[in-house]
Amino acid sequence: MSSPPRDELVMKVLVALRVPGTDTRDVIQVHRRYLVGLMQQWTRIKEAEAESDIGLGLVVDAELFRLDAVVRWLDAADGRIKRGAEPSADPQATTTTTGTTPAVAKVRRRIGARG
Amino acid sequence: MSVLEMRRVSRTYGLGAAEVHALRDIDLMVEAGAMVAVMGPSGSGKSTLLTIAGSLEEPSGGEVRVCGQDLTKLSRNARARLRRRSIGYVFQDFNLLPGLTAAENVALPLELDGVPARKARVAGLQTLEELGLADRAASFPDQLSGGERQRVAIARAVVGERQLLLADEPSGALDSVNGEAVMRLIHAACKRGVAAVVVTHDAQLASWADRVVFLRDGRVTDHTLPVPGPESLLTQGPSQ
Repeated sequence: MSSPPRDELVMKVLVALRVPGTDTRDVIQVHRRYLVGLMQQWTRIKEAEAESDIGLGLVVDAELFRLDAVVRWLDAADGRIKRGAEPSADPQATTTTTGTTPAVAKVRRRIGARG
Repeated sequence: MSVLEMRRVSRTYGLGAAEVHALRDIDLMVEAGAMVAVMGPSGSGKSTLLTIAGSLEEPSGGEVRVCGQDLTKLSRNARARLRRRSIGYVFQDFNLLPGLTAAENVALPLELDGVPARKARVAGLQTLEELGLADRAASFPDQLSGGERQRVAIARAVVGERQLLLADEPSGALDSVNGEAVMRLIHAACKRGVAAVVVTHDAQLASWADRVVFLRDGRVTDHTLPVPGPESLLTQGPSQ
């Protein structure tokens, strides 16, 4: 399995998780708002021009789907962090990296996600 | 003028240890002609906000005004009248009556409000025509595609003199092309002066709105700024 491409936003969220006193969900929200704001601007272009210009419509759609994918990842990350912060009902549940297989530990090192 | 005004609106369910705060101190104003999208994860209070805005549910605290009328001070009958005349609803699962044609479904709210059947039918047909569905007026819901059903539901929501359109995941059951068509129709209704609140978890649909409000744990935590012109996209760096 090849490593995923380096993604600055993923790195930023991973770093935020490790900085004491940082509310990672707030960091996520700042990015979410920025991205949705960008999507609003692209949608205005689509609304105004893209119906009559198929090339422009395709380009705008591509950008909207790309931004949407990032927002969806932020939503998923937000939910994962929220669940991680809640007290677990299962006393056996753990969030540490102990007990993982060597293969998973190797992947974790390659993608930079330390436990 | 604000068509919808929500001030310090709260909604609590249950008591004591079982108490759940679905909404906390919500402030939301929606002007005539504006479209506001409400985004947030499941359980953030989006649908509760919409049902309270539409007077389908009462808040535990705060004030809700629709078209200048304080909902908490209206009688049950007056609230029902306001709902029939001024508020249109669009739901994810369309909620069309299967035994009525598209035209009859659209005309129904007017007839329930006392408009003569003939006049209501004419208004319904006119609204269907505006939404590009005139040729489907005589079709029953099960003869329509999902996209057409939702367009009929939007026609029903804006028929007559409705001033506030409330939509809960209006394109949740549709593909992206039909979803966009639905948002274009809601956007067009806003250009004619209707105020709209659209609840969605889909950023692409929310991006049709003039303003996007973000809910988390029953609170408004953030909102987008007014949308600048397209030239601003040329001056921005990478989106990360």
